[in-house]
Amino acid sequence: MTGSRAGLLLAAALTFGCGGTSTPIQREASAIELSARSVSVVAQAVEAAAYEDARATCPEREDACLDGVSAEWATEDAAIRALELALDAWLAAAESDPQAGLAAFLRAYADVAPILARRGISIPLGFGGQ
Amino acid sequence: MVARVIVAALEIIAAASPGFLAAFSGYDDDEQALASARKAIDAIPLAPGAAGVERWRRSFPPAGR
Repeated sequence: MTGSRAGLLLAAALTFGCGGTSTPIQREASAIELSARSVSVVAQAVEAAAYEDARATCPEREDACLDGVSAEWATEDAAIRALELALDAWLAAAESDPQAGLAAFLRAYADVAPILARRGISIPLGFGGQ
Repeated sequence: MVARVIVAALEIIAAASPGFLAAFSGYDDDEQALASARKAIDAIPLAPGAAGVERWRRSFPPAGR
């Protein structure tokens, strides 16, 4: 089983599982929270990688050099923002159309994963990281 | 390696008992669950790439400034 499938399976289990005493909304919220925590871990990895990039590229900390490095990380920052917005939308749809919310989040991740992969960063729990 | 083991364990749990993980989420009600998810989303760092560069820029004042 691939990591992507494992992530989907876990999200599906959290979202649509029928066991336990939690309500459908609580299961949905669990899946959203898990995904948000995963994105936070990825964002921390981006921060650490950008720091190392800046340190290696601009050892003297020249403003122009650092501004250039920062601009190069704008794509990754936008990717994290896209995931955050997708989670926002998923949460907003948690009660009305959770399946659409999950699907939209996974689509957003599919778009973002290659951007992060170029920096050697993947989402925990195997979400799309191949 | 550790991550792969965790993923494998979660696969087994999720496949064997759908909803198992959610059952242990510990929420008292729907409102609390949604608020917890909201909090997790709000905790996602903003512009982490720029933040990393800024952390290096401010790590100590360059000599002569």
